[in-house]
Amino acid sequence: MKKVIAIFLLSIILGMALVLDTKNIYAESYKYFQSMNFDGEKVDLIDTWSTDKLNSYKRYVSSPKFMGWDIHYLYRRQHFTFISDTLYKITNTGSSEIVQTYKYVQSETRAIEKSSKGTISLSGSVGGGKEKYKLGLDSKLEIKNEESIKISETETDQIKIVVAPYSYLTVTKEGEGYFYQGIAQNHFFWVKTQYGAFEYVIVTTEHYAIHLKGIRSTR
Amino acid sequence: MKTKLLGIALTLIISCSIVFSILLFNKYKSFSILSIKKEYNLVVEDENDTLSIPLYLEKTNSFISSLKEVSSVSISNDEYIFKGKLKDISKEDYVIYNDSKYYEYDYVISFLSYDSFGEPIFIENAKFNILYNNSEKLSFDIGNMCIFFNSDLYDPVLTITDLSTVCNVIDNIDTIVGINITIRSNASNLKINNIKIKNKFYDLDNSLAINTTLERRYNLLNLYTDYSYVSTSIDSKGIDKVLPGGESLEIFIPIRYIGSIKNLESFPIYISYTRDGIDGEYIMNDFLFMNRNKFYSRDGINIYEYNYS
Repeated sequence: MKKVIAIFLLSIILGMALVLDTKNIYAESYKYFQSMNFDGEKVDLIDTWSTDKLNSYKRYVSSPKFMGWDIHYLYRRQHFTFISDTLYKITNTGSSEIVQTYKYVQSETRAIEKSSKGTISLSGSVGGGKEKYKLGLDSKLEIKNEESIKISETETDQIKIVVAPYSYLTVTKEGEGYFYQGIAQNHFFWVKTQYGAFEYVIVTTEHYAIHLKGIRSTR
Repeated sequence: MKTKLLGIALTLIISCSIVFSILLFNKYKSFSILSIKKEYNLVVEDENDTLSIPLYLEKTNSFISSLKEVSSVSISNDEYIFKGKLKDISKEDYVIYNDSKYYEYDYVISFLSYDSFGEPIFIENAKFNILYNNSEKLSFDIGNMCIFFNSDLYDPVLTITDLSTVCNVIDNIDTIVGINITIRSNASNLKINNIKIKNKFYDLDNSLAINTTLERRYNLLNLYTDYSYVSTSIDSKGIDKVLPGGESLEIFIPIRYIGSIKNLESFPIYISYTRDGIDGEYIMNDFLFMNRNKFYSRDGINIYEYNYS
């Protein structure tokens, strides 16, 4: 009988050890946008949070639970706009026009990007837009599979752009989407096993623009 | 008697086995293919200009995505048929739609040289047709296509220095409602007559052009009284602005949709001008202004079942 109890306890401990995997992997390309605007609201991405700040939200998910996730959203479907890096820059220092071919393939953006803080972790092809939160947090957050895809590329492979003498041409990308951020805590037999913050963005549209400026005027 | 019964039993067993084998190994199978319907607007200068048409296949390693199995490709509707040359089928990442994996294959095609006789050709409800070496012919709905064949795009009389769009959500469709454009004249006394998209379902309404640029998201109802995004026709009035050499024209021009709002993403811009009494046209070839997450909005996705044995 003692052996059975010992094996049972050992199984629980091993199970706990697996659950308490604290490896953090980040998919954070949206963090490298030049700027993000949340319709005028000031939002701190979880990457900038201190441990104290993370712990200050524990009160939102403190109720005991037999099994599974307890979540609290700080932002849910918050609209945002972003300015991305300059996609393309062609400089013409000569005295005659340049006809340059510009390929759109460089503008591929993943439709969904996730990140986490604390002991919440991600798995899957991280950074490829198909990563998942471990222990079924994705389904608790009701993240739809359809959202985990890239934005379609354009129908044309390339366009030609004329760059005037002594000028440079840039193609910029801006966009918009929805932002989600919150706190989650996982329980295993009423024991709090994981606590942290989740954050993900869904990019719904991208916009492109052309700007041609004189080289001399920028110096 | 026993031998007879044994013979009958054996015959029954063999017959059942044959029927089962036929059912099991010659089972009628199928898999899904997705195509996306959208507004194609393109200018084709020569055979180096390519068009990528994505198809999403549930099954990999089929002849459908094999370049060497393709005999010919074309774009057609009831009125037109344009033969293309399939240059490549590139396999991209998969997407997940209705909980199934679909592998994206981009069919890269170029067109043979055609004459547009100075005007774009409009292929309404276009189909992408693929004929295979095994005589199988597949057709996919890809939306509307406006195609202009022109071998002489470059024109130094003017330069576009800024180009961007203004967008809005109309009837739950997130689309383009106008363009901001800045044109610099490289010739003395260049008269800009009009600026057009030349699509029969939507076009720039020059009569409503204003000398300023707008924010990327702007509700045109705040700007024009009695404005309607959808109309039955577009005013044919032009811009008619004369630019001295080196001067720029910075304007916003709204798009009017004919009949219904479309999900507009890319289009060329045709600038008609007069210089020294001679008319000319500057063509900015199709530029992607906006890229939408079609699987998120679930717009324009067609599902085809391909049956095979």
